[in-house]
Amino acid sequence: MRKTYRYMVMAAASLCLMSCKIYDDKEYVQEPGYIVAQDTYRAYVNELFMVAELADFFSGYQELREDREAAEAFAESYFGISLDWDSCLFYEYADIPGHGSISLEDDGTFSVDMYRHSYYLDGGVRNGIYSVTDDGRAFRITLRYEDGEGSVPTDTDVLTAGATVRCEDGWIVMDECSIACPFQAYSCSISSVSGKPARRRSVSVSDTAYQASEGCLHYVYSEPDGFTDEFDVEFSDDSVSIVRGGTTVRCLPFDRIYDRSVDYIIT
Amino acid sequence: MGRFGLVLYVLMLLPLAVNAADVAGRQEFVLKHHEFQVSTGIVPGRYSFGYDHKSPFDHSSFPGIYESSRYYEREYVSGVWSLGYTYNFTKVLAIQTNVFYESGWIDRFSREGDVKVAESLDSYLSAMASFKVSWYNRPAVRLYSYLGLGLSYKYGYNDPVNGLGQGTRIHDIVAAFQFTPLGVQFGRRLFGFAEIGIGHYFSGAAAGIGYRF
Repeated sequence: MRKTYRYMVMAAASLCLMSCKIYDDKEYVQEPGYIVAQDTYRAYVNELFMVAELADFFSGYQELREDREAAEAFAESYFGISLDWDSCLFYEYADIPGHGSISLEDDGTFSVDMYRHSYYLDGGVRNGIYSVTDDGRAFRITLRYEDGEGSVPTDTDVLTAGATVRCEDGWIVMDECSIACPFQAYSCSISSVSGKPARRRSVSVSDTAYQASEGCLHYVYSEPDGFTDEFDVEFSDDSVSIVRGGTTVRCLPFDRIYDRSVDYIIT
Repeated sequence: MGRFGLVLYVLMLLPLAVNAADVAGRQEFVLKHHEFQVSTGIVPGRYSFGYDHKSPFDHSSFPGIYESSRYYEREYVSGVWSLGYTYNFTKVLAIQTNVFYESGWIDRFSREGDVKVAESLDSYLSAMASFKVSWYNRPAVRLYSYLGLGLSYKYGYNDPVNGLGQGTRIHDIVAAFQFTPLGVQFGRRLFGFAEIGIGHYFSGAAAGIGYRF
């Protein structure tokens, strides 16, 4: 009988061990600055690089545009894609799928439409178009809004953006950058850090160019109730670092696909 | 922890099985009408019922992200635990009844001060009756299958952020079913058993001990 009791106790103990409480430590958001930086990079910062790229391509194209064969070869080697160029590449207008459309204006500037930043007025739609001026050394980019009929509704979030960008040696270098998101729910401003321009490889040399490989951007974030956050975002090829005062949080590089993964911190 | 327990359980079953097999050759199968069992889900041992922990944060907005970053969570599961009684009508047919419980809960803490600020719980207390067929019977080993239906009392709540104890208490009755295509019992009077099945009692494998008389 004692043997039976011993077996019963052993069985009960082993059953308890097998079905212990198990738990997960869940930390949804460890570094909110990373999410803010990732989302604004995808929505606003990357566009400035792409606008500069289109302007760089189109100004190079202007010198070749009379020679159709050379022009198409240049376009294919720049973007690394083969397209029906007859339907998207013209003397004073080009629409490159995945990159935006660009027009040459009468005054020699470019207008780039990324098909975003439109908002609805009482009378219609106002589109945000990037104006690009080539001063010989760099492109000056400004987001301006077309005139539209009607007034802007008071609850509309309107982005302002501008940058000075150089394209050289396969790099797109953002010497100056100023983006402001004075939105209803929050206010965010992004600016360049002098001495550390954000730069990324041009699409003409890299298939996967998306995140900047070097440089720094400064973020100031605030909410209507007075909460503020300020940090720097430092880029490298294999990581993005959020720097606040003395502390640096090193995170996974940005992904162009929508990704709110929890495990982005590299420890 | 779980794996160590499993190894211990198997090691414990072996001498029982050996002992049973040793005696088996010398005896006919003798029907015992009453069985009591206690068991637990072992693989995966949780989530037979779904848990409904809703996040109180809006992760689609930046203010919601910042709010979420001020808290962290720990999630727990109790595992499923069952007490049962089986009446064996014949060598082959039986009715098994059991009561079982499982729950999962989340404790939410604010990072400032590591203070617990909210809790979310889903718990299920169920009663089930199963039609059981033992299709292989030897003095020390039985193989069986069963199909069960039952009802479960669900109790839970989702505290809002910083509202410990303020979540509306939810009471509900839900249906429960269980299909266990294969179970094995080792032993004579005192026996151990292991089953694989799918349903609200357990989905995966369960194991336990019992006593028949």
